[in-house]
Amino acid sequence: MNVIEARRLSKRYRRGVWALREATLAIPEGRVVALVGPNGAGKSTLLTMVVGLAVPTSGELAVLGGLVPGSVEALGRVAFVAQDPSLYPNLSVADTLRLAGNLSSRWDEADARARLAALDIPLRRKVGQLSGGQQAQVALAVALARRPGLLILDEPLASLDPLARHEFMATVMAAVAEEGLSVVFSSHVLAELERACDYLVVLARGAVQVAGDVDELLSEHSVLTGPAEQADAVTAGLCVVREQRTDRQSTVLVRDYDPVRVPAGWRAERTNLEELVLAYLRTPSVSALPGPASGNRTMAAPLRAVDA
Amino acid sequence: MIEYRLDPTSGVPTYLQIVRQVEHALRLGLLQPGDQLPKVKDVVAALAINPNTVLKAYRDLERKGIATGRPGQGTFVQETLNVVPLEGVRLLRRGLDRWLAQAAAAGLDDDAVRALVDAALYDAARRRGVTAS
Amino acid sequence: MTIGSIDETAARPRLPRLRGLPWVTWRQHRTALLVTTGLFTAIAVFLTVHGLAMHAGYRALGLDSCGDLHGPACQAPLDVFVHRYGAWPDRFATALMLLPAFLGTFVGAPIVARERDTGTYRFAWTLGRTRLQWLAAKLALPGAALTGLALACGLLAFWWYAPWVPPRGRLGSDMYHVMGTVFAARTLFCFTLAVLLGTLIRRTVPALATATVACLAAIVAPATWLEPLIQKPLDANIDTDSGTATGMTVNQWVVDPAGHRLTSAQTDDLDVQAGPDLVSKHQTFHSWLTQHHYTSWVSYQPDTRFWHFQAVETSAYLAAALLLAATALWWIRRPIH
Repeated sequence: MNVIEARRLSKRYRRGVWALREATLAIPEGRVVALVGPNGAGKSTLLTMVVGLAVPTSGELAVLGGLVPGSVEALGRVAFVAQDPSLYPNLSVADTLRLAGNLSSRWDEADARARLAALDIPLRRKVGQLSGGQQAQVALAVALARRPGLLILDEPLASLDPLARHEFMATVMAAVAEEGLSVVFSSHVLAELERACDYLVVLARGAVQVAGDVDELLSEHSVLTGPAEQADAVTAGLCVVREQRTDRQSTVLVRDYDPVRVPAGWRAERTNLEELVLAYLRTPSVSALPGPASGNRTMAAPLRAVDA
Repeated sequence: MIEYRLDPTSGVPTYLQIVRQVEHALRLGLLQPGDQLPKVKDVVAALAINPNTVLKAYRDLERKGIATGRPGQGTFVQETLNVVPLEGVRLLRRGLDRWLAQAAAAGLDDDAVRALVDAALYDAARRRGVTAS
Repeated sequence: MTIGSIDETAARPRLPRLRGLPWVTWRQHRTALLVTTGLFTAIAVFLTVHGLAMHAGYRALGLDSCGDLHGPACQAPLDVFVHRYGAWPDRFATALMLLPAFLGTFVGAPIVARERDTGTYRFAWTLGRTRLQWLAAKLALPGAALTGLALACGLLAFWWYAPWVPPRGRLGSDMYHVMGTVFAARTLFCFTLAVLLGTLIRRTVPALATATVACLAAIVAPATWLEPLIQKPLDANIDTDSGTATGMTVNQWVVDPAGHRLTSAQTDDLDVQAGPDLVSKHQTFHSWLTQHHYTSWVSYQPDTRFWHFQAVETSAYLAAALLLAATALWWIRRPIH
């Protein structure tokens, strides 16, 4: 089952700006997905459509194996934590739980209370008097108590201090370990998601540029470093994502490279997620997407994109 | 029971850091055969990392014969690695100290030493054929 | 609607145990509803206490037993009664006539506008209920509460006004707007109009301002221009038709002895002409006209048409309210962005 499935999904705002353009994406179940991209890439637009707050201009979007976003069935199984938690500031924490419980088809009040007790968040305090981190934790406790199949977190860490970020991520990861729910995080800072996610989606300019299993993506890509004058010969016929050259040295991020073939004088290294994402974002003409039906990966753009 | 800690700047994949810490603890005798490794849920809640990362580390340990998973209970240490006798560790350490003194005399600072050690470890690993990807 | 384990112990026992959207609606709008209830309670207490005194005064003066109110036997006690209580119907009508506009706006405008303003809609509308269900509950429950309270108030005002029916009638009084069912229908109408405007405007303060103006206009304009058109008024000679003493006067004019209808300018000229007589003989202009064989005519809505007017106006406001509510429900289903 795919928890999110988008086909040629487009969204245009009234001002005529395209936030998403023909984005196609399939996210398998049970993953922790990092949805990254620069500001304005369409991350929030995609997520607001997934939770049913917005509808596509064109294209198809389904959640949890075919449910229509925003329908009662989908609302009942998709939980959402917005960037600024958007809770009612004048409600107490206890009333916030009660309100959410009364609006949810599934609700585990004891679970929510236990989570908040573990974090020393007083139930009687008004939400508006809590710190940003505590508010995020209340929103998360509400989302998890709804026992969702899919948890959507839109830039949840943006306004949190490092300790609050760690606690927030720890709560989410523990829930993933216990219940196997699928999670989609969006962020423009990849570093904060790198150790949490196992699936990566890179959005750039309203389109999906990279999508795939993190381990697979990392094992498929290598960084070759060697003398600049040999670079053209070495990279001929390779899938070059990005090449950086000084007059002496050339550093090339390549895909589908067999490390056994490293030529003398060259060094092949593992890449890391941040380097990989940055390389793709800096080279918008190249993408790494799962192939249509076979699951094979295809290079969807010109093989070479060289930065002089 | 041991606790894992992660070094985000090391560049070593997270699962490998866990594997190495278990091996390290075994060598130092902090873990004994039959000991239970931290539960996935607890590791995840403490380190805020993906559960699959911990599972992958534990699978790796199982593959190496170091640990064994018991369904519904957790992962347990199976056997101790070849423990280097304490005397042997002391000898190696003495050699390392001497080498460090030579490196300092040659003008290498700490970072240069680390880079050199990393490079040597990397090459050794490549010779053994266990490079990452 | 299956709700999981809501903590039952947290529920205060004196409150009816609500669940689901009704509880959410109550929790979020209880301040507005309690303020409204308090206001209506104060009005009800005043109407009851004042009304009992006024009714007792009417009987004590013998106005219920003196026969024809416009006859000589009733003249003196009626003057006393009018002197004592005569200003109250107008005062009361002035105070309450526009209340539906303010209450409807106060309760209705923030319902959607505040959620959009503060961003809480992202929380409220991504839980387990659709926006349509959410708004339907928020229209139905506060709408029903407001309408119920206003209806009770309108019926109480109907009872309070009873002593003034023989001398003045219901239809011609400003209290018409506060009595019976029209008051409640206008309250519901203003509430749904405010909800719709809040949904369209999406900002609390502009929505409150716009809704207040719109609701005031929606009460005053029909009351001024449309009400007289509900039924064709009757023409009658004031002196021969006793029905003209009460009811709603739409127009009046004077007919000269030859049977020609005078323009208002001509009537003014007559008034000037009669001036010396009126001063010297302490005569009224009306009796002067009668004496000189002029006749006074009115075009009026007889007081017997009170319930017909109420019914027509009530149904019009209710139909409009339904239309507004349906529009708000249709609008909220549209995408947010």
